[in-house]
Amino acid sequence: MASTTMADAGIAARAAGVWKVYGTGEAQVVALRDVSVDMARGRFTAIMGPSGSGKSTLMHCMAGLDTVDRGEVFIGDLRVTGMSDRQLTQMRRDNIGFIFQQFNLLPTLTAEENITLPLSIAGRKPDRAWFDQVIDTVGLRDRLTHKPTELSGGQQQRVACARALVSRPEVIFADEPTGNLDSRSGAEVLNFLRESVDRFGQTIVMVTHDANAASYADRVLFLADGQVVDELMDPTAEQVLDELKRLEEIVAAKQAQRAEGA
Amino acid sequence: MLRATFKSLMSRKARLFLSAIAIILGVMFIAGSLVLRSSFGASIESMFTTAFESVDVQVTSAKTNETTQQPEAIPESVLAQLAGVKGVEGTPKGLVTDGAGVVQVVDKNGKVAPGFGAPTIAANWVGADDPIEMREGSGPVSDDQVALSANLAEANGLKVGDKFTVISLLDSSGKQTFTVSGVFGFTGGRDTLGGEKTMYFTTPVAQRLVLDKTGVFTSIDVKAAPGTTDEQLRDNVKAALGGDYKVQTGEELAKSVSDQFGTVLDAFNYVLIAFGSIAVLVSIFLIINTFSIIVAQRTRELALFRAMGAARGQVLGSVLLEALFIGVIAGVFGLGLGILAGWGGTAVLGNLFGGQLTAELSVPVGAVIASLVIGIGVTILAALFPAIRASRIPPIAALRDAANAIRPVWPFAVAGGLFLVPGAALVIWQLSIKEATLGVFATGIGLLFIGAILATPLIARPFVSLIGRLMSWSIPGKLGRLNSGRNPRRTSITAVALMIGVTLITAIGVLAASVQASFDKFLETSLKADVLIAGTAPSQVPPTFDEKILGEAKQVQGVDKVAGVWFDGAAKLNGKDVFVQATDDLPAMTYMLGQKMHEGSGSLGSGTDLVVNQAVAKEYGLSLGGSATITFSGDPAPRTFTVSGIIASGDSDDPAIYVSSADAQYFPLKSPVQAFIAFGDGADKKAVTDKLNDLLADNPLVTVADVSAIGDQMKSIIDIMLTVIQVLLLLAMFIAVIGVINTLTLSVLERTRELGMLRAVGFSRSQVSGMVTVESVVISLFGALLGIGVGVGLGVLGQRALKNDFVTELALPWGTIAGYLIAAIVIGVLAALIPAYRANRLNVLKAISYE
Repeated sequence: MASTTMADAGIAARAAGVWKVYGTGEAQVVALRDVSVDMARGRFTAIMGPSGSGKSTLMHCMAGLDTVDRGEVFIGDLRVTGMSDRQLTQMRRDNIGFIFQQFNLLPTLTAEENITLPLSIAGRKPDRAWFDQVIDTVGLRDRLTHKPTELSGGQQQRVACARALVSRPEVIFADEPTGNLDSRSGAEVLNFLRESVDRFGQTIVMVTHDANAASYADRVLFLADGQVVDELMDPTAEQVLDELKRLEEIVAAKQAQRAEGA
Repeated sequence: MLRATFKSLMSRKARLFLSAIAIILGVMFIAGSLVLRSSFGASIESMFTTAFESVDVQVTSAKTNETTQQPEAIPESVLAQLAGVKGVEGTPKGLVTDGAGVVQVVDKNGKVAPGFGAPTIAANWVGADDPIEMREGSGPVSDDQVALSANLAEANGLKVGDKFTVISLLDSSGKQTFTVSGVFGFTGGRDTLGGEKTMYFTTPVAQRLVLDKTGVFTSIDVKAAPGTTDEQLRDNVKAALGGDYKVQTGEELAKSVSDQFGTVLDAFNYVLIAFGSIAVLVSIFLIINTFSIIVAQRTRELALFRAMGAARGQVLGSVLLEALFIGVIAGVFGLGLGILAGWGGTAVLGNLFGGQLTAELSVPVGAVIASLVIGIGVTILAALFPAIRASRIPPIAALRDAANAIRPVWPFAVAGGLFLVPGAALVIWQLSIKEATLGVFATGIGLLFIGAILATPLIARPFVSLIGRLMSWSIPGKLGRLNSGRNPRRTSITAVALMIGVTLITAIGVLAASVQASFDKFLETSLKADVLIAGTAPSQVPPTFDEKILGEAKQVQGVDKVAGVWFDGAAKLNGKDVFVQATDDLPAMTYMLGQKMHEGSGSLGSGTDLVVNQAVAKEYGLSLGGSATITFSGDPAPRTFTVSGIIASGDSDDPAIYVSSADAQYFPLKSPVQAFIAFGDGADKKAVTDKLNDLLADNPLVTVADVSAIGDQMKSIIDIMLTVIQVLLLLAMFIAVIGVINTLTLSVLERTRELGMLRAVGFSRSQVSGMVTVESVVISLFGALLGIGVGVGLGVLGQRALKNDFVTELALPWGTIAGYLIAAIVIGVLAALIPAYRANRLNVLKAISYE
């Protein structure tokens, strides 16, 4: 697929022929059907699609949070598929960063402690110069000793971003990172993500349903009905919206077809 | 609302189950105690009813003998008097029964074995009547014969024709040997009625052994003539004999004898109920915590009810209804299990009585009421505060992502202060005055204890963070520590549940160690005797030995000093009851007991000399050279004495009154009961002790005891007491551990999202377990340290209060305290097992995803 054009930049994460099925019999739902995607190193990729398109499932499978029924998932050179819980845990700790919709900071730790948490878990000391660079980029220098409850939503999400970035993972997976933020805070966070790709060469994969958020990405993958149906390079928000509208119509038509067939 | 309540209850079965278990255990303990008391009482009553079935009416003296604490003997003349009473059938039977353990069995080694459990009873043979059934041989016909109950014969390996030796504590003729003429059992093929061992002698022999007199009986059985009821006969006999005698029907007798057991059972029962109450107290804390957490977690849901128009009272009612439901279940299950436990306990106790006591089940109404009242009352009471808090949740909370607000701790400081200040005041006041009142002091201690419990949340945060620092070397440790300090109220309430048991056992441990240390110090510094001649087994009548042993002991190579002691426990000094000792060598006695003369002579020159200590002199207004009147209980004539010396009392209030051994002839026991013996320098302790023991060959009731062995004996008694208390407190501890499990489980549920995030960013399963375990260990260590701190404090205060009553030394049981700390860590680790398992089995994806 589109991955061939990015081969020279290297592949940070790859899904190859991935299937994911929930439930059995009548209640069976195919979340992913034969999805193959490559996430290029040093690029910002957004995954979009209508509700139930499988975009979150794809991210969870690629991040090693969920298993696949068929196919393979790689993070860098690591084959994620078939890893034990211990290996998965270590892989998530060392190779992956997460940014969640709900920030998910530990209320007992200060901002700084939250940021260095993945390193602490691994028993590593933060690289001071890198840490300082990250902190200055997210602009949290004067908030480091604060507890999460003393920070605004945007600040909390920036702490979460710094946390994902500080261990220099192969890939950062962001799940609706602006979903809980007002538009100004959301823009701050997105700018920060963009900057970390441009300045530090970080790879970021972001699931979102917000066309404006997707416009910050280098590339937008569109999922519908468990399949990658389209992609846009260097999109604008309008392009993304148009594409989404088109997809929704296709999906609606397919569902109507199915309803008739059934 | 009712349906919503029920649904919410059902959705939280697991957590409510744990809290219900806590109350069930508490209720079970109390209900079990009550059922045990009632069932065991009924079993004993049925045993005595069997024993007295053949008795129509029995006559005993209304007066009590001071030495044996048994009814006085009845003269033979009463028999003839009774034969003429209307409604009496045949000749009344004079009975001699030893109720005070006066007659003791001498074993093959020539010593009296220390007896435990059911008594050995000597009596006169009046024929093989119901319930007695002869198995072999016959009853005693001549004065050198004895008939034994089957269990007594078996215990001593005796058959008809064998020799059987006894000694009487009252009869001074020493060991006496009889020939076994027969072995008998009881109706229903039983070897014994209730575990007791019985030996029957001919009437004259029984009179001599049991009463040391001839022509007297301990009781008389009267048969009713046909047509006369037992009650009519009783009234006739009463009228004929007058007020000096107690006349009872067989039925009344069975009841009164079993009532005597009843007072012992009641005391035992109160102890059990006290420990059951502690368990209930601990479970209150558990329930407060469970409901607080549930209310906190349901904030959104309850606020939604309020937003939809539910009144405050409805929210309050819904939480209380849940409590009521749990309370009813706990009460009913607790009662059911309590009945089973009580029944089982009765069977076990019945076995201690020789396995002959039939366990009967009796469930008193009180047990049913107590179970329901405690089960429901305690749950509702404990749920009240969380329920009120629930009713105050504003409807707007439904719209907020309710961060569980950490509630302030200052109200606890105020509440704690309200108890601590008056408690401290009472205790300080009581310690500063000489004549402290136990009740007031105990109230002060109780207030301090409650105050300490209430003030706990105040110190929880700094304290927990301090303990946690010991474990923050790893990231799971650090997170665990921070989690435990997250909600000081929740942590303290959980820890307090553990603290209560630890406080009690530590305080008692400190007191026990202090008593032991004081006793050891007394033995070491004051008691200069090396060995003691004294009885082997405790009995109502102290065992005595031949006076000539005292002189013989003095002749033994290596013996320096010998002082014999005679007791009169029921003498009167100037009309007041006192305990008087007589000795043949007062200077040796005071030297060996480490007593110093305050003034006057240290010796008892003549039979009218009296030496008392300062405490007695002060109480009775006696001064040197003054006179006092003493009436000994072995002789009715009052005697005048001159105070020839006063012994220094020091700080002690214990009385000491000495007269010359010449006055022992007026004592009820005319032989010495104890002798203190000090060895000369360089004497071979073992050799001298052996020689002294040889002297006692013909005195089976006493033995030579090493004084240092008395300390050991004391230690073993204290150890047994502590073990029993620890076992009884185990239940409270167990409930506290359930509390820790409960708090952790609920905390894990509450932090699902956090755990999911941690797992997502690379926290391994073992790190999750480590984090939960650290939190658990911090809570249990906090509880244990609090308990030890408060317990040591209360124990020290107790020792201070008893300073003048022998507990002069303060000792802390360091080994035991260290043991409790280790136990707390182990408990912490164990309590974390289930919550940690649940935490690390968490589905990461579910934990972090929304929708």
